[in-house]
Amino acid sequence: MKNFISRLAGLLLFLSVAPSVRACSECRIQVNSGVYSQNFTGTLLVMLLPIIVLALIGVGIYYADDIKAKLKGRTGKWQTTSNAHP
Amino acid sequence: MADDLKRSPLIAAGILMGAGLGGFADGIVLHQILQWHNMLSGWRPPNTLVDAKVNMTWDGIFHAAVWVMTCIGLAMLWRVGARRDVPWSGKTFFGSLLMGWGLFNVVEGIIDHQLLGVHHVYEYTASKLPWDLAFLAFGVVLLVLGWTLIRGGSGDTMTRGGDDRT
Repeated sequence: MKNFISRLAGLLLFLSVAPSVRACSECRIQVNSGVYSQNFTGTLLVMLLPIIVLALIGVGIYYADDIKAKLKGRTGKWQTTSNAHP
Repeated sequence: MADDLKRSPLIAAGILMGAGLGGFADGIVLHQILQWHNMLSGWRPPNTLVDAKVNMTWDGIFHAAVWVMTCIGLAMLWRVGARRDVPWSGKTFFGSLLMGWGLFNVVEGIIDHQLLGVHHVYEYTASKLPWDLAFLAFGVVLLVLGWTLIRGGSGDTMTRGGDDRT
């Protein structure tokens, strides 16, 4: 068991000094400048576009029955008035 | 009495939750497990560590957005549960979940894959179109299945409080 733990610790130590990990800490600035560039807002809007469309569809359907009922009510009112004063 | 019932709030809650969960399925399965594409892999292929990490960040922002959409759907469902004019129909809700997932595939597929080319379903091939079309076709199948289930639940009149409003 001790042998296994020491081997695991050795592996973790090796991985923590592996070139890819060091590259990660070194490339952090490049990654940040890649994400938060001057195109950030445009990219964000493009990326969110399908989600905004889906959210609008969902909210529209949520109120669809109420909107239909209101429109029906207005039409009904208009018809009553027009019938009363032809 | 049944004429007073409103089905659209439950359908809307299911659609938003289904679209959100569909987004998670896309992100978890296609972005992370299979790594067929990333959010910006059409514009910035993840060929270097920096580009892979930039894509990873945008994947995270996408996941955050679909999480918010799922929460909005959950909030709607909570409100629907308290209403006595909305039938609490399992068929309607699960049909709406499927429709939401299908809508996600269709809307995201058309905007991101076809119109903008932000990414494609499977980036690592010369012919990306068949994969994109299969993704859209799967969305259409989900839409049809969802619509069929919703129609099957159109006769349900029991509200959450147990009132039968026929």
